[in-house]
Amino acid sequence: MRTEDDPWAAAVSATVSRQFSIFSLIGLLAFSPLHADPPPRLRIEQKALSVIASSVAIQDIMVFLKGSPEPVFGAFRHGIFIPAAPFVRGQSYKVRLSFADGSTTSQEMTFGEASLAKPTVHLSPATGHIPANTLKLYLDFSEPMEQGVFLRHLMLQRRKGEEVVGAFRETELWSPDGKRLTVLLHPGRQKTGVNLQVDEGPVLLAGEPHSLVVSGQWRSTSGVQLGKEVAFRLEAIAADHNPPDPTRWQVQVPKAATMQPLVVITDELFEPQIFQRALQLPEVSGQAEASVIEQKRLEWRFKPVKPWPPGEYEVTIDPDLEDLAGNTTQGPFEVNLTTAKMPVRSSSISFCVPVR
Amino acid sequence: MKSALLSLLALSTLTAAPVAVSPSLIESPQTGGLEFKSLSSISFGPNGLLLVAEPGTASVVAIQTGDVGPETKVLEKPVADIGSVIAGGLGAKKEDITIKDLAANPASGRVYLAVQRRPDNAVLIITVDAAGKVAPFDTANLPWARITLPGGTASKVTHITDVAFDGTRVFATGTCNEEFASRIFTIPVPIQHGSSAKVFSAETYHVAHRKWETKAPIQSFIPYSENGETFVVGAFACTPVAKFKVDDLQSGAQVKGVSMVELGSGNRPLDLFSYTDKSGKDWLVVHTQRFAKNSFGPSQMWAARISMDYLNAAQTNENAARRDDKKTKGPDGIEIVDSLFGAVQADKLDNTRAIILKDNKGTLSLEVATLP
Repeated sequence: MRTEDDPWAAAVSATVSRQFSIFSLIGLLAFSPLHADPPPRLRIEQKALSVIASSVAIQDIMVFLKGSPEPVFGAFRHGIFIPAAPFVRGQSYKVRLSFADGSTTSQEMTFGEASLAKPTVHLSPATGHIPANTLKLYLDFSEPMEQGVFLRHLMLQRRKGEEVVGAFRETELWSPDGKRLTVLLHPGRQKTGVNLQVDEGPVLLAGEPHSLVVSGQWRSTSGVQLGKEVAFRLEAIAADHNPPDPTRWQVQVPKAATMQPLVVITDELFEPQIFQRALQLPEVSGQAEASVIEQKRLEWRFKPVKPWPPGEYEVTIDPDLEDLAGNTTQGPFEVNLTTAKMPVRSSSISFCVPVR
Repeated sequence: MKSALLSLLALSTLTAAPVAVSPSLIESPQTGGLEFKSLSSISFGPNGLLLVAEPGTASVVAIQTGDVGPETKVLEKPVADIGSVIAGGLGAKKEDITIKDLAANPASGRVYLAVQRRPDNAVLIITVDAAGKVAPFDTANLPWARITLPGGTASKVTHITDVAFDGTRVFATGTCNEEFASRIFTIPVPIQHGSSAKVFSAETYHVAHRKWETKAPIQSFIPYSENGETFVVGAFACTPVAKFKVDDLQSGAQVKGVSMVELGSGNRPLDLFSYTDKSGKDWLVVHTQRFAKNSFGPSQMWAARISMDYLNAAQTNENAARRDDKKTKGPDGIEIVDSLFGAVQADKLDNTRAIILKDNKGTLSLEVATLP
């Protein structure tokens, strides 16, 4: 087995490099008198609790979260306790040591210092105007956040603070870095005619002001709370059942031999980060940015790394790109099977940079 | 203290020796070095094969646990307040623990729990044996393989809702944070470390209003065979149950589901399993959370068993059966399973018993429930 696959071997190796051979220590302890005076010296790290020095052989170590009667899962071997789950920074533990003579003693230890980085949160897209049948919004946090509690910390309110009960779908979708949460407004209430919508009504009412309220008690993975309740105002506009139509988007074409940006302005809202990646200009190197303008539209701005040569170009659009209501260029989110099928929209934008 | 010592003994018994790998299930397995960044669903295949969904890396991990009996020993008595034991074991407060999923190993009777700790989101798989001993699942000497699930064109899978083995393939269902689409993945056996999966986009019809085609993600599923054809039977939010034929599909294809049953609005399916009762009749159990107050039972956590006869529908089936959530009975072939009221997690152990994690006024206990 490789050293890095064996937690004890890895921990021992790390201890050796910092201090002295743990095996020498164990040999020393085996012949020591059975009195823990002075008290054993211990080191606590994220994945190991090590005996640094002890005048008496230690037979076992048990660790408890301070105040808990239940022992932390883990095992003690070769002078090292390896917890099944990493120790938590800033957390205090009670360490119970058992000696060869049957006596025990306890020490309290704290692993490191807790992070003080206070999380902040923003709504994306950063606008108050969203279609009444919006499916997804995004919360961007400055720190990775604790998971499994988003329903406890999110609330949708209507006028006068009335809570919309059951507004969110329970599926918890985080970005891989744990900083972006997809807030799914309950599709069962946002889809036309589904039982839940008939029984409970839609989540958003067109023309009504709403607030998405984020609790100040939501913690980062370091245990630091947002601290202050944050409310994002949402104005529900008419529902959107139409596929995005790129032929209706404005294109501002750059002049040849310049570094002018290529600008695409949509006629509806998309989530900017997703939109930014969904549009590609394969034959040109450059940097794209997308941002909300005028509350209801998006601007995609592409800056080339070299001046534009004259010629024909094509911006490709990911066919899976969804607007806020889940419509794509390939079709609307909801398809009425009793009416004619809507035509598939174009998934590209062609433009020409003319010779000057 | 006693429980910890026993737990560690149980752990060493479980994983003391390297485990022989069944060459038919995992090919070129890895040994050691397995760590999980996240957990969602876990389930068992044959011969102690544990399937673990890790949404953080958009992957499924297959582990040959070696936990194969030789005899099945079932939980002797309920493990009361198991949440406190697990929380203490992870060095956390009880309110900072979420049990994400439960899997009963049919080969041994041992129960596996996927657990997440807050606020750091650390995860751990826990085992509970017949005596109720709770221990961390040690993978150090176990053979394993990881398969990454392909994402969409613009985004990766960020939530794996369920994973299961049908005897010939591993199935998984998932969704992305950027596209409202449901995906079904299949992984061939033997499971090869580092390989990828086939992916299908799944769409279905909502029976309730019979006009609109939607793209709802599958919450839970079972693989199902009928007349030599393979289906995924999936349950959706708002609890329509639909089946998707997954034979002969090329990766990237779109598959449309056939709606069969709807259990009523305001419900979220949590687990699905099938079993055969004493008379030989086949049932599909849909374990569900109801959002609103439950007018037909003592808990918002409930389950219905559905006659497998409903799964024979062949077309779009606009006449699929619908359960009236204001009634305690009917329609024919759809029955409430009283023993599963209050279960926050459930998994079939055999044709007579399920293992459930039951909520007793805020305290969780692990119990055996009898199937009707």
